[in-house]
Amino acid sequence: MTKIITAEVPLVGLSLGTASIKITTNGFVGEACKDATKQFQDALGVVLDDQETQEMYETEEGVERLREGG
Amino acid sequence: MSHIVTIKTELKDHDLLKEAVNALNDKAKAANTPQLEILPASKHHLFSGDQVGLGIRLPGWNYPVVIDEQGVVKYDNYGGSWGKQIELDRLVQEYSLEALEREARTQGYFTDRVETEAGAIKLDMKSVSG
Repeated sequence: MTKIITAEVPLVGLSLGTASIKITTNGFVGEACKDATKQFQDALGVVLDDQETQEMYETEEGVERLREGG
Repeated sequence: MSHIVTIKTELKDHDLLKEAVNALNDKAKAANTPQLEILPASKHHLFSGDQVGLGIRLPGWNYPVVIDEQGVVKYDNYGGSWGKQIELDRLVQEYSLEALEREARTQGYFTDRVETEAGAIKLDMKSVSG
Protein backbone atom coordinates (compact mmCIF):
# COMPACT_ATOMS: atom_id res chain seq x y z
CA MET A 1 0.00 0.00 0.00
CA THR A 2 1.29 3.45 -0.90
CA LYS A 3 2.03 5.60 2.11
CA ILE A 4 0.89 9.21 1.81
CA ILE A 5 1.45 12.13 4.14
CA THR A 6 -0.58 15.24 3.31
CA ALA A 7 0.17 18.71 4.68
CA GLU A 8 -2.43 21.43 4.38
CA VAL A 9 -0.59 24.76 4.59
CA PRO A 10 -2.93 27.77 4.83
CA LEU A 11 -1.96 31.30 3.84
CA VAL A 12 -4.11 33.83 5.64
CA GLY A 13 -3.41 33.97 9.36
CA LEU A 14 -0.32 31.77 9.32
CA SER A 15 2.01 34.50 10.61
CA LEU A 16 -0.36 35.58 13.38
CA GLY A 17 -1.02 32.04 14.55
CA THR A 18 -4.73 32.23 13.77
CA ALA A 19 -4.21 29.52 11.12
CA SER A 20 -2.04 26.42 11.47
CA ILE A 21 -0.71 23.53 9.39
CA LYS A 22 -2.50 20.21 9.44
CA ILE A 23 -0.71 16.94 8.62
CA THR A 24 -2.64 13.75 7.93
CA THR A 25 -1.38 10.25 7.15
CA ASN A 26 -2.79 7.52 4.97
CA GLY A 27 -1.64 3.95 4.43
CA PHE A 28 0.31 3.54 7.65
CA VAL A 29 -0.36 0.71 10.07
CA GLY A 30 -1.13 1.66 13.66
CA GLU A 31 1.54 3.64 15.48
CA ALA A 32 3.74 3.84 12.36
CA CYS A 33 1.90 6.99 11.33
CA LYS A 34 3.19 8.75 14.45
CA ASP A 35 6.78 7.81 13.64
CA ALA A 36 6.29 8.97 10.05
CA THR A 37 5.07 12.45 11.02
CA LYS A 38 7.54 13.07 13.87
CA GLN A 39 10.36 14.39 11.63
CA PHE A 40 7.95 16.66 9.77
CA GLN A 41 6.67 18.06 13.05
CA ASP A 42 10.24 18.73 14.21
CA ALA A 43 11.08 20.46 10.92
CA LEU A 44 8.19 22.88 11.36
CA GLY A 45 7.86 23.83 14.99
CA VAL A 46 5.30 23.41 17.74
CA VAL A 47 2.58 20.75 17.81
CA LEU A 48 -0.72 22.35 18.80
CA ASP A 49 -2.91 19.27 18.56
CA ASP A 50 -2.40 15.55 17.96
CA GLN A 51 -5.43 13.40 17.22
CA GLU A 52 -5.46 9.64 16.88
CA THR A 53 -8.48 8.88 14.73
CA GLN A 54 -10.71 5.83 14.94
CA GLU A 55 -9.23 4.56 11.68
CA MET A 56 -5.84 4.21 13.34
CA TYR A 57 -7.19 1.55 15.70
CA GLU A 58 -9.31 -0.11 13.05
CA THR A 59 -6.19 -0.62 10.94
CA GLU A 60 -4.32 -2.16 13.87
CA GLU A 61 -7.16 -4.59 14.57
CA GLY A 62 -7.25 -5.51 10.90
CA VAL A 63 -3.58 -6.44 10.98
CA GLU A 64 -4.03 -8.47 14.15
CA ARG A 65 -6.89 -10.47 12.58
CA LEU A 66 -4.75 -11.22 9.55
CA ARG A 67 -1.90 -12.43 11.75
CA GLU A 68 -4.18 -14.70 13.78
CA GLY A 69 -5.71 -16.12 10.64
CA GLY A 70 -2.37 -16.57 8.86
CA MET B 1 -6.44 8.63 7.26
CA SER B 2 -5.32 7.57 10.66
CA HIS B 3 -3.58 10.43 12.37
CA ILE B 4 -3.98 14.22 12.36
CA VAL B 5 -1.40 16.66 13.71
CA THR B 6 -1.80 20.44 13.86
CA ILE B 7 1.42 22.49 13.91
CA LYS B 8 2.54 26.13 14.29
CA THR B 9 5.65 27.00 12.27
CA GLU B 10 8.78 28.42 13.94
CA LEU B 11 11.25 30.20 11.63
CA LYS B 12 14.39 28.76 13.27
CA ASP B 13 16.44 27.80 10.21
CA HIS B 14 17.91 30.93 8.60
CA ASP B 15 19.29 29.00 5.59
CA LEU B 16 15.80 27.69 4.92
CA LEU B 17 14.42 31.22 5.33
CA LYS B 18 16.78 32.42 2.59
CA GLU B 19 15.62 29.55 0.36
CA ALA B 20 12.01 30.58 1.01
CA VAL B 21 12.82 34.20 0.07
CA ASN B 22 14.53 33.03 -3.14
CA ALA B 23 11.53 30.87 -4.04
CA LEU B 24 9.12 33.77 -3.46
CA ASN B 25 11.36 36.06 -5.52
CA ASP B 26 11.34 33.59 -8.42
CA LYS B 27 7.53 33.80 -8.39
CA ALA B 28 7.66 37.61 -8.08
CA LYS B 29 10.01 37.86 -11.06
CA ALA B 30 7.68 35.70 -13.15
CA ALA B 31 4.67 37.81 -12.12
CA ASN B 32 6.61 41.10 -12.40
CA THR B 33 5.73 42.06 -8.82
CA PRO B 34 7.96 43.55 -6.07
CA GLN B 35 10.54 41.20 -4.54
CA LEU B 36 11.69 40.52 -0.98
CA GLU B 37 15.14 41.59 0.15
CA ILE B 38 17.44 39.69 2.51
CA LEU B 39 19.38 42.02 4.80
CA PRO B 40 22.55 41.12 6.75
CA ALA B 41 22.14 39.25 10.04
CA SER B 42 22.85 42.23 12.26
CA LYS B 43 21.07 45.12 13.99
CA HIS B 44 18.02 46.49 12.20
CA HIS B 45 16.02 49.61 12.92
CA LEU B 46 12.29 49.27 13.53
CA PHE B 47 10.00 52.13 14.56
CA SER B 48 10.04 51.13 18.22
CA GLY B 49 13.80 50.45 18.39
CA ASP B 50 16.61 48.27 17.10
CA GLN B 51 16.39 44.48 16.81
CA VAL B 52 19.16 41.94 16.12
CA GLY B 53 18.75 39.03 13.72
CA LEU B 54 18.28 38.16 10.07
CA GLY B 55 16.42 40.99 8.38
CA ILE B 56 13.95 40.54 5.55
CA ARG B 57 12.32 43.47 3.82
CA LEU B 58 8.87 42.46 2.60
CA PRO B 59 7.17 44.14 -0.39
CA GLY B 60 5.54 47.40 0.66
CA TRP B 61 6.73 47.23 4.28
CA ASN B 62 8.22 50.34 5.95
CA TYR B 63 10.44 48.35 8.33
CA PRO B 64 12.13 44.97 7.94
CA VAL B 65 11.00 41.78 9.66
CA VAL B 66 13.75 40.59 12.02
CA ILE B 67 14.10 36.92 12.93
CA ASP B 68 16.48 35.94 15.72
CA GLU B 69 18.36 32.63 16.19
CA GLN B 70 15.47 31.16 18.21
CA GLY B 71 13.02 31.86 15.40
CA VAL B 72 11.31 34.73 17.21
CA VAL B 73 9.88 37.13 14.62
CA LYS B 74 9.93 40.85 15.41
CA TYR B 75 8.21 43.41 13.21
CA ASP B 76 6.24 46.62 13.31
CA ASN B 77 3.65 47.04 10.59
CA TYR B 78 1.29 49.14 12.73
CA GLY B 79 -1.59 46.73 12.36
CA GLY B 80 -1.22 46.61 8.59
CA SER B 81 -0.78 50.35 7.96
CA TRP B 82 2.99 50.04 7.42
CA GLY B 83 2.87 46.70 5.60
CA LYS B 84 0.28 44.10 4.68
CA GLN B 85 0.18 41.06 6.97
CA ILE B 86 -0.41 38.78 3.97
CA GLU B 87 3.21 39.37 2.86
CA LEU B 88 4.47 37.86 6.11
CA ASP B 89 1.89 35.07 5.76
CA ARG B 90 3.44 34.27 2.35
CA LEU B 91 6.92 34.06 3.86
CA VAL B 92 5.80 31.74 6.68
CA GLN B 93 3.86 29.59 4.20
CA GLU B 94 6.81 29.23 1.82
CA TYR B 95 9.19 28.48 4.71
CA SER B 96 6.80 25.77 5.92
CA LEU B 97 6.57 24.21 2.46
CA GLU B 98 10.36 24.31 1.98
CA ALA B 99 10.85 22.69 5.40
CA LEU B 100 8.35 19.92 4.62
CA GLU B 101 9.78 19.29 1.14
CA ARG B 102 13.34 19.12 2.45
CA GLU B 103 12.31 16.57 5.08
CA ALA B 104 10.30 14.64 2.48
CA ARG B 105 13.35 14.40 0.19
CA THR B 106 15.44 13.16 3.13
CA GLN B 107 12.90 10.42 3.83
CA GLY B 108 12.55 9.46 0.15
CA TYR B 109 9.06 10.83 -0.52
CA PHE B 110 7.87 12.33 -3.81
CA THR B 111 6.15 15.68 -3.31
CA ASP B 112 3.41 17.51 -5.17
CA ARG B 113 1.99 20.97 -4.40
CA VAL B 114 -1.59 21.86 -5.26
CA GLU B 115 -3.05 25.32 -4.59
CA THR B 116 -6.48 25.18 -3.00
CA GLU B 117 -8.84 27.89 -1.78
CA ALA B 118 -7.68 31.29 -0.46
CA GLY B 119 -4.05 30.69 -1.39
CA ALA B 120 -3.67 27.58 0.77
CA ILE B 121 -1.37 24.82 -0.52
CA LYS B 122 -1.94 21.07 -0.21
CA LEU B 123 1.38 19.20 -0.21
CA ASP B 124 1.16 15.47 -0.93
CA MET B 125 4.18 13.36 0.03
CA LYS B 126 4.15 9.79 -1.28
CA SER B 127 6.58 7.07 -0.32
CA VAL B 128 8.91 5.83 -3.05
CA SER B 129 8.89 2.26 -1.80
CA GLY B 130 5.11 2.12 -1.80
